[in-house]
Amino acid sequence: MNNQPKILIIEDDELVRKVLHFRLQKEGYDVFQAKDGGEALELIAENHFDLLLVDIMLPYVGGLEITQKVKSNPQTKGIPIIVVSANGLENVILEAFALGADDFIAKPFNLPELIIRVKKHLKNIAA
Amino acid sequence: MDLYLPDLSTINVYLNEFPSRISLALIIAFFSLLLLFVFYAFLAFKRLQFVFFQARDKYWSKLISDTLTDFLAYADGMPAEDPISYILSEFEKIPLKRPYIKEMLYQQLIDFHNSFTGNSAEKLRKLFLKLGLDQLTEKKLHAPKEGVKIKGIIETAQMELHRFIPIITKLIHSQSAEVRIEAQATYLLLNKQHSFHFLEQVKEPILDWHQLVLMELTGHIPTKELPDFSVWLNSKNNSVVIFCLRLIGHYQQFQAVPKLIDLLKHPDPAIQQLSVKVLGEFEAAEAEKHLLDLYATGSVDIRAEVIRALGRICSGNQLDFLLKEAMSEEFDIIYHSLNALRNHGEPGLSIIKGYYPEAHKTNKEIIEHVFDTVKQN
Repeated sequence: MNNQPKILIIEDDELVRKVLHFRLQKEGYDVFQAKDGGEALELIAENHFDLLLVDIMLPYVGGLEITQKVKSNPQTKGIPIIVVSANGLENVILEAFALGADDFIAKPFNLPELIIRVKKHLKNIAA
Repeated sequence: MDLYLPDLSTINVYLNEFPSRISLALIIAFFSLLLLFVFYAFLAFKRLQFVFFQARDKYWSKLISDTLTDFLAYADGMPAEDPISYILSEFEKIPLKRPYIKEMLYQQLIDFHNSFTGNSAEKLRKLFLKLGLDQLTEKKLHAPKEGVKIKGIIETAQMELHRFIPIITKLIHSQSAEVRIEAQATYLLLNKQHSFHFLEQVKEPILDWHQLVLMELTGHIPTKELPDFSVWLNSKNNSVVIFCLRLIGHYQQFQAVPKLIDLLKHPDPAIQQLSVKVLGEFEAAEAEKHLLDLYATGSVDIRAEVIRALGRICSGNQLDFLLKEAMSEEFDIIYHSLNALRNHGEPGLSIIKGYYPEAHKTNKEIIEHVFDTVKQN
């Protein structure tokens, strides 16, 4: 049985998704990808994830809606959510926090910073 | 071996069996069918070509993005040169001499670079330079087509190609407004030591929307690293003066007040008006006398701006003047004078209360609109 923490990357930019997947996998995590909100919700229903990395600007079902759905479901509300947003969308970020998001990281990404934040949230769960 | 050639005489004989109109119709129909066949053959060829190129591009695009992903995933934490030496050997597998592959790599590298900051972005940038891809950017900067040139300028900023600053400096003077703004923005971003020195050289007007873009970029520079914008207030380019006035006001460079007072005598009314505005925002009491001098000769807009400035300065020395102007016949002057009096607090309010009973009907309505409390009392 695979004991590695499971992370779901929800990001519509293929290049970014690829790099994040590769990088997080190198850290030893079991990484899944979704290119839009609809696909993400399907994966969340079928799997138990230990962390979600959610881009706010997504086609069809947005990042805020995913945050709201995950945090309002008793089975998934404990999953930490790191929202990802371009700089300048302060109001949207505040709304994400109001809906229950646990952390925020700005685009363009600083990869080492992202890894540190992921590790911190996963360590909090383990504790 | 005999070559079979169509026997035109036979065809002629065949056609002659029909009336001439039918023969003509048959000939037209034949050539139409021939053309149709050629057209469909051309379409089929183009379609096949498209499918081939699509498959080719998909293959190389995946290979390039996998190689770059690999590079990024392993580059963190490694010393500066190591990951690039490692990845250069991987790039030898990619035929970069083919222009379309080089362009694909160029675009992907820039996209990757734009998606990341810090160490990752810097390594991608070094890789970009090591592969000689900046030569493609240079070609774009010299391209005759404006769209391509603009793309080159933007990519110069994105990839921080400092060696192109001399080219960008020339493009600051371009006749094209779009090229100018991109060049000025890139100059500002790349020239960290002297970001605003292009203001000394620019001859063409910096349009209002250019100024908006440049101000937004200026917001990325730490305030303590900004220059004293008043050094450009004596520029012969009026748009430079206006731009600097806006920056001085926004960044509250109070040391510029003496030069702002000098600008009250500038021949351009727009510059005069903006100087008045900034002096008001700075609450520069030492400027009051000069503002009143300007008031005597200024247009309605400038006079209204002076009154607004006096309302911000609130020295208490101009109450009689403001009351006198509140009795004028120009709506803007009356309105701003009353607001300026209100800003003075109790002294101003008591003056208005004293004036209200004797005021003209129109003036009374303005007072009532602005000062509900006066009417209630």
